[in-house]
Amino acid sequence: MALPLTREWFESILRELDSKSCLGFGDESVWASITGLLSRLSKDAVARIEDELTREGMNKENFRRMREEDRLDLVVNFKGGKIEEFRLAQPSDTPTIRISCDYESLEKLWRGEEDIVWMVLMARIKIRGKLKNFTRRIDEYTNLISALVSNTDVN
Amino acid sequence: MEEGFSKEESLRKRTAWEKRFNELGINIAWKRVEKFISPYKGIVPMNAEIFMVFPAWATIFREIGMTPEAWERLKYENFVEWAYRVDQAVKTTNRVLKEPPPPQEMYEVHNLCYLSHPPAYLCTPEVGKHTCEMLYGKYATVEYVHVDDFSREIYWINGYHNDEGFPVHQWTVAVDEKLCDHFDEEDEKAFLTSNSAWTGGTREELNERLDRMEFTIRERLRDLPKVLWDPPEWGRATWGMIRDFRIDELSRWAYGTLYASCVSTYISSIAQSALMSAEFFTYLYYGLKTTEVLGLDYLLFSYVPMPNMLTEMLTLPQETFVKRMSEFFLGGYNAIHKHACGERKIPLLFRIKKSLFKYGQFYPHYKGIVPPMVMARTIPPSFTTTNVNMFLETPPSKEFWELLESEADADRKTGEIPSVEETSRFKFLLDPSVEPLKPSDFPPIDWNVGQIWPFDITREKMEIMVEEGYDGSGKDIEYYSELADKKMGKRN
Repeated sequence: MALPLTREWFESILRELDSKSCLGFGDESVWASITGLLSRLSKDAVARIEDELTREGMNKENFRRMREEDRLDLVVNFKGGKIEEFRLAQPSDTPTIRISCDYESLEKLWRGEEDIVWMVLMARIKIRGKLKNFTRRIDEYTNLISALVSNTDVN
Repeated sequence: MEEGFSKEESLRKRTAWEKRFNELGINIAWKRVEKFISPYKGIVPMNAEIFMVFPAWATIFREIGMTPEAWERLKYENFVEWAYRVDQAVKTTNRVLKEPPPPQEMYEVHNLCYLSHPPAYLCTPEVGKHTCEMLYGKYATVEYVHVDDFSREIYWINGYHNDEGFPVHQWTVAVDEKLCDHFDEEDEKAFLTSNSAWTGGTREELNERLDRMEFTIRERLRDLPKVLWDPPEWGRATWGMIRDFRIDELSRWAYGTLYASCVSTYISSIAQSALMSAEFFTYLYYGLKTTEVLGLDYLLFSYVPMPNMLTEMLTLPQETFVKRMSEFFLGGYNAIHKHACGERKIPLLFRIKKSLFKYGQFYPHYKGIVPPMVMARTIPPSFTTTNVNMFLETPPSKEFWELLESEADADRKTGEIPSVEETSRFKFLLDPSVEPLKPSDFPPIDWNVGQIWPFDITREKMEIMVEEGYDGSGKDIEYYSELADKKMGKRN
């Protein structure tokens, strides 16, 4: 588990996804907006993330803005069902699938307390894209969520 | 009858539906949610798509714990509530027609009743009597045929013979024996006996009629929906059998036009539990225009034959239809619907009603109770491309357009709204520029009495009316409505 946005965090998620099937995503570009995650970080965790961003030469202002909005926007680009890129979203991105949800819902899914289809019907998780593609990729979405939550340290 | 019915054609439609259902992946979604809401796991019910677009109902079914026993109980409660609504309407009408209330008291809730067909929306007895006559003709027998969504079996047929728009004789044609097991003393008298006011039969007779053979396609009456596709086809097939029963059982009423009206348990329960009249009229629109509006290749409800007046009204946009129906039956008011049976007799229906009131009809997408004028302008999810002008008579507000664009990919220039297939939008979209009503806004509601409010009710208007002393009963409703309008700076 690692603090969000750190190099270790991106790498550990990618490692986990590499070992799981993402074939159903084909050549999609998935944009995920996650709320309720950054506001849960402790002061100490925020300071550590800011240090790492500085070390990596990244703009800390972006992180501050995301914390203010309590929204983390990520992009995962797939090519032939393999992850090509996983990073923070940019305004210039043109995703083919948009997901928005709160982090608590993702945790419930990861813990097996809820079902992804139920949460979509109940609008706890919003997925914009073709209906048939969503239902045929339930396992892939579940893998994506599982990799994200299981590798995220919010303390 | 206007059109026929055949097993072959029904099979073709059913196969096409299954293909589309699977192609869209709804079968996969159903398998994931059935554990929460289905009483019979492993069976895809009729109207599975509708189960999935009403999260408030899904939530309530999940809370109830929808077991086979709960489902059978719901079927019973649904049956008796429909039947006793008409009995109650006959009593109210007799009283009101004998001693007509002064015009200002006409819309008080104790003078309203379910004289409508189906008995799903409240109206004034005078209007109900005349509209029934206009809709169905001077002499008509209207029989309701109810079908289980899961077993696809007919389990009761009950209705009324109407003379000059007034139900004069209740007629129970058939009831499945399992449903009879729930009958109490009152029900046994009402459905298992006969006298000058009603015709029933013994348990054995009522059950046996469901086993009679329909000779065109050689299937038992109860099994017709298993081989025929949707409510209009069930209506066409059952019509001839009910006509023959009428010759045997009610020969003195055989001169009246016979209507067979078919619906499933789930759809009927939604209609019966509508919180308010504007909501029911919206559902009626969807029920009779399912293919055009919701993009499904079946209808949710049928009249066979279809009353001409209704056919004409269904050419209107949804909003106009709902407003006209509200003006027609309730003088432009909006009634909060009551139950005819007490809570001890229909605990499940009370639980559903209270939950819908607590959550709001479109929970969790819309937080609260939908005001009638917002309900009339609801944009439903659809499995086909639709257009804003099919639903609205006036353009959407700025906020509503923004919602339609962001949630439904609606095209502001053409008004076109892509299908669920394109956007995965399962939810109903409602104008966000009008605030939802909250349960706490209402004066205490007795669910056996109901309430009545102006059609243009908003939170602000309701607050003023209540502050000024309006109690929801309809007493001096016009005065309080105008007073609130004046205080809000609205011109008459």
